[in-house]
Amino acid sequence: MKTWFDRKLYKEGLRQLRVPGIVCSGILGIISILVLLIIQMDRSNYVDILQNIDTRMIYGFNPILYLIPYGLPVLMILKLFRFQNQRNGSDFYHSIPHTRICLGISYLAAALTWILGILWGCSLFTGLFAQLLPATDVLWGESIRFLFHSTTASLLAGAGVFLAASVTGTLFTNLAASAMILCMPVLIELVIELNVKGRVDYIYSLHNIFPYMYNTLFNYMICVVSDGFMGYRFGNTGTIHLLGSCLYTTCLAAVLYVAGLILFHKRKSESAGQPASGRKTRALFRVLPAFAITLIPVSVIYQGEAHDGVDWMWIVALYVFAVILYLLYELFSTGKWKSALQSLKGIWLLVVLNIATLLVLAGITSYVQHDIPSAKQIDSVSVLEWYGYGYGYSYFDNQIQDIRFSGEEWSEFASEALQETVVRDQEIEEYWNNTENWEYQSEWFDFTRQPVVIRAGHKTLYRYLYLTDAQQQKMEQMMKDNEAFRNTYMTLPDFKGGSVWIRNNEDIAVGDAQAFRDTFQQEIEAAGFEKWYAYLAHEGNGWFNVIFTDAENTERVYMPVSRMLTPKTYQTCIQYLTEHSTSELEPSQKTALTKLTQGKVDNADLYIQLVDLKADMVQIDQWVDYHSNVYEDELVYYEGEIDPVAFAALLSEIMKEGADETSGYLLMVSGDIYEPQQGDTELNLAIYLSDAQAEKLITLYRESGGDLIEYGE
Amino acid sequence: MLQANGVSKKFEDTQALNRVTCQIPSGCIYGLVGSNGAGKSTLLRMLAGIYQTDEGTILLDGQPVYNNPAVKERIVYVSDELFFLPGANLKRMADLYASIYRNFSYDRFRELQETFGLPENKAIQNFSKGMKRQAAVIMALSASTDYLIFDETFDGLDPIMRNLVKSLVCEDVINRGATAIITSHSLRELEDICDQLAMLHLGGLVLESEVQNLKTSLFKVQIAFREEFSEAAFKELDILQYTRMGSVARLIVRGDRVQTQTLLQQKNPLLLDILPLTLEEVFTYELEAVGYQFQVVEEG
Repeated sequence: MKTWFDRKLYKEGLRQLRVPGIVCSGILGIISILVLLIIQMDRSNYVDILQNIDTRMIYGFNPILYLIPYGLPVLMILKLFRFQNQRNGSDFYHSIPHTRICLGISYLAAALTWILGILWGCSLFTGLFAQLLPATDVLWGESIRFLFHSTTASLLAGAGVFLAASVTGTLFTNLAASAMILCMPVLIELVIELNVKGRVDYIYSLHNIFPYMYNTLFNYMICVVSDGFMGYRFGNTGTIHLLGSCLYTTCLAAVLYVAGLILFHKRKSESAGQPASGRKTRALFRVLPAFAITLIPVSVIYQGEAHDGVDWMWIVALYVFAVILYLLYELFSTGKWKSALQSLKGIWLLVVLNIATLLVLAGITSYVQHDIPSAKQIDSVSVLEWYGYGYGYSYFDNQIQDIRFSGEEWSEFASEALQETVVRDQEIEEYWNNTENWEYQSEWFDFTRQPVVIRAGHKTLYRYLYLTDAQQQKMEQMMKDNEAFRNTYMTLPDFKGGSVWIRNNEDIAVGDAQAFRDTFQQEIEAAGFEKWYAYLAHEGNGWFNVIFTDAENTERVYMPVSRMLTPKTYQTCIQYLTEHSTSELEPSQKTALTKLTQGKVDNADLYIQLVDLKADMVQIDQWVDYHSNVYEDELVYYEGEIDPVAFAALLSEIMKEGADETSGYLLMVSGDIYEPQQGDTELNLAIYLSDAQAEKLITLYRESGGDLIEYGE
Repeated sequence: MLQANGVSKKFEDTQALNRVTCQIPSGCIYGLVGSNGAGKSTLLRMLAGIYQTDEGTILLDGQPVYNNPAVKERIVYVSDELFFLPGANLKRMADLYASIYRNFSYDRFRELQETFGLPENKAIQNFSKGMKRQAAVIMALSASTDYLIFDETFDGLDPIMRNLVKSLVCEDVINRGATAIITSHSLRELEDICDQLAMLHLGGLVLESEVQNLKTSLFKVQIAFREEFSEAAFKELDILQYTRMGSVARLIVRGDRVQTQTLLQQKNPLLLDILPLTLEEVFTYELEAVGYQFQVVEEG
C-alpha cells in the first residue's frame, strides 16, 4: 500500500488544501449568486431570445468559471508540493516511510480531487441556482459538454504544474517552468505551422501534423474569445473536436503526470531551493524563454529569405532582447548577478536551438511541398467553406463538409488540381519576388482558392486548390451530381424540440414549428433541387429569413424564404409579421410621434423597412438614430439616413389616411421614441402603403441622400 | 544495527563525506561530533534515508534505508532546520505524524505535551525557538520508532529542558530498546548521555569509540627529569602533542594508561603525573592531530 498510494497521505493532502479549497469555492459561489441576482434585477439590459427567459450556458452566469483551469491547478498543486522548495520541508518528506511515488500519487490525487470537485461543484451549483430562479434557463447539454472540456483542460494544467514542481525548486521557477511546459509545445507548433503556411500558400492547415487544436487548454481559450466571455452561446469552435480534444488532452496529461512522477521520484532533497534539480534542467529552462523570443527573428529570417528580404536591425534587436531575457531569468531564479553572468557560457544552446528550428522548418516545408498524392492514392475529397450558397459560413456549407466525395473522377480532379496549384503557387511567388511587379494588381491571378480535405491512405491533407472558373464550375457540377450533396441541400434543419422564428427586428416565434418546417420542406421538395440550389447559390435571397433553433438554442440556422418557390411558407411569414405588428397607433404612440415631428424628444431609434411585395424586394432598410449632439444643443441624425422629423410627419399623415391592404407595399417601423420626462414609447408597426404613399417615402429617403437597395428574388 | 559502509557524498564541487564507515549498535545512544562543515548533518540525513549515497551503502539490519518504507518506518529524524506545516498547532502536527508513522501514539503525545507544558492549540510558528524544538522532540518521541535521529536538537534548549529531553531519550532507549543518534556542538552534553561517540572532520571519520574508551585511551602526562631530555625520549609512545614548559614536559598520549605509566616509571622521572582529559580536550587534540588548527584569541 505504501508503495503506490496511501489513504492517510491522501487524506492529509485533502486536509492541507482545505483552506484554499473552501475559500475558492466560497468566492466562486458568491460570484455566481451575485451575478444571478444582478441579472434578475436588471433584465432589461439583456436581449431575450425565448420569451423573456434568459437562457445561457452555466458559464454565462459566472464567467469566472472559465478561469478555473488556468488558476486553480496552479494554486492547489504548488501549495501542496511547496515543501520541495524548502530545505526543511524537503528533508522531512524525504524522511517519511513512504516511497516517493506513493507520496506523489497520494498528494496528486488529493489536489485533483479538490480541483475537479470545485470545478464541478461550483459549476453545478451555479446551474442549479440559475435553474431555480424565475425566467432563467440553463443550457444543460452544452454546459455538461463544456464541463468535460474544462475538466481535461484542468487535468492538463495540473500535469504541467506538477511536472514543473518536480524539476524546479523555487516559486519563480515553478511558475516559469509550468508556463514553458504547457505553452512551449503549442507555441512551437503554431510557429512552425504559420511559417510553413507562409512559405506554402496553398496549405490550409497542418493540424493533421500538429494537433495543438486538440489541446483543450489551448482551444478552450479560443472558444472563450470567439464565443464571447459571457458564453452566451457555445459555438462550433470548441465543440467541433470535443471528443477528440478530450481524449488527446487526457492522454497528454497522463504522459506529463507519468513524467512528473518519475522526476519526482528521482528528485533529490538537496535540490530544494535551487532553480532546478540538475544543471542540465536548469540550463534548459533558462534558455527556453529566450528561445521563445528568438522564434520571432527565426520566423522573420525564414520568411524574409523567401520574400522581400530581412530587416536586420530588428533581428539584432530581438536577439539582444532574448539574451537579456536569458540573463534576467537566471538572475531572478538565483538572485545573483555573478550566476547570471556565468550563465552566458550556456548561450550556445540558444544558437543550436535556432539553427535546429530553421532546419526543421525547411524540412517540414519541403515535405509538404512534395506531398502531392497521385489520383490512385486519393480516397476521397471533402469541400470546406463552399461559397456556392452565397452566405459563406452557412448551414449547408457546414453540412457538406462532412461529405466525402469519392470515385475516379474526384480523385483525378483533386490530384490534377493540386498539381496545378503547386505550379501556380510557384509562378505567383516568382512574380512577387520581382519587385517591379509590386505596383500592379494581381489581375492575372484569375482563380479561386478553394479549401479542401484530401484523404490519401493514412494521410489527410488540408489544402487550397487554386481553381479557374471552369474548374470551379466543374467541381460544382460534380458535387451537384452527388446524391449526398443534393440531399443535404434539400433537407431543412430538423431539430427535435426546436423552434422556428420569423426574422425581424424582434424575432417572432412560430406557433407550430414542426408544421411550419414540414410545409417549408414539402415546398422545397416540390420545387426540386435545381431551382432551390440556384435560388440559394446564385440568384440572391429573399428579404425574408426564418431561423431554426434547437431545443437548447445553441444552433441557429438562417434560411431564406422564397416567394416564388415556397409561396405558402412566404405567406405564413407575412401573416406572422403583420399579426405581430399593428397598423393602428395608440394614443401614447400618437403623442410620441407628434413630439418627434416637433423635434421635442430626447432620442429616437427607429428601424425602417419598405418592402415592394409584388417585386418581393426590400427598397429601404435602415436604422435611424436621432440623438443629441454633445457639442450643440440640438438633435442630429447621420448623413444618408431619413430625416426623422420629416419621416414622423409623413408617418402621421399615412396613419390618418389609413392603410391600403390591397397595395403592394409594406412598411415596417419598429423602435423607440424617448420623450422628456415620459420615458420611451415603443413602436412596432406593419402598414400596407398605397403606391402614392410609398412614392412619398421613397422620395423622402432619396432627398436624405440614401440609395435605394434592391434585394430579393 | 545501523551501518554506514564507505559512504561518500558530493554536492557540486564540495566533497561532504568521503568513504565514511561507522556502525551504530541498536539500543545505544550514539553521539556525532565534528568541526563546522565536517559532514555531520549530511551523514545523519543519509542515515535517515533523506540523501542517497554517491558511493557506499547505508543499511539497517542488512536492509538499505534509502527509499525503503519498511525500514524508514523504524526511523524518525529531527532536523536542525525544523519543519512544521504553516499555521499548524501541536495537534495538527500530531495528526500529520500519525498519518505517516504507523506506531504514532496519541497517548504518548498527550503525556509529553503535558510534561513539556506546551499549549496544544497555539500555532507553532508563534512558539519561541526553544519551544519549537520541544515540539519537534514531542513528535519524534511519540512516533515510537526504533531509531531516533536528532540533529543539534539540544542546542536551542534551556538547561532544564535539555535535561528533560535527555532523560526522555534515555527512557526510550532503556524501556523500548530504541537507538538514538545525536549531534551537538556541546561535548559536555554528549559526554553525559552518549554511549558511543564518533568524530568527523572534513568529510572523514576521525575516530569512533565508546565514550569511556575515549576518556581512557587518551590522557595527559606531565613529566620531568633531572637530566636534559627531548621528545625523542618518548618515541615508544603514541604522542599527539608534546610541549615543554621549563623542565616539565607535557605529553598528550594515546594508548593504554597502565602500560604507559609503567613505561615512564622505568625512566626514573623526577615528576610523573597522568591526568584524564575531558571530552573537549580529546576532541581538540584529535582534530589538531589531523590538522584542524584553531587560534586562541589573546585578550588585552
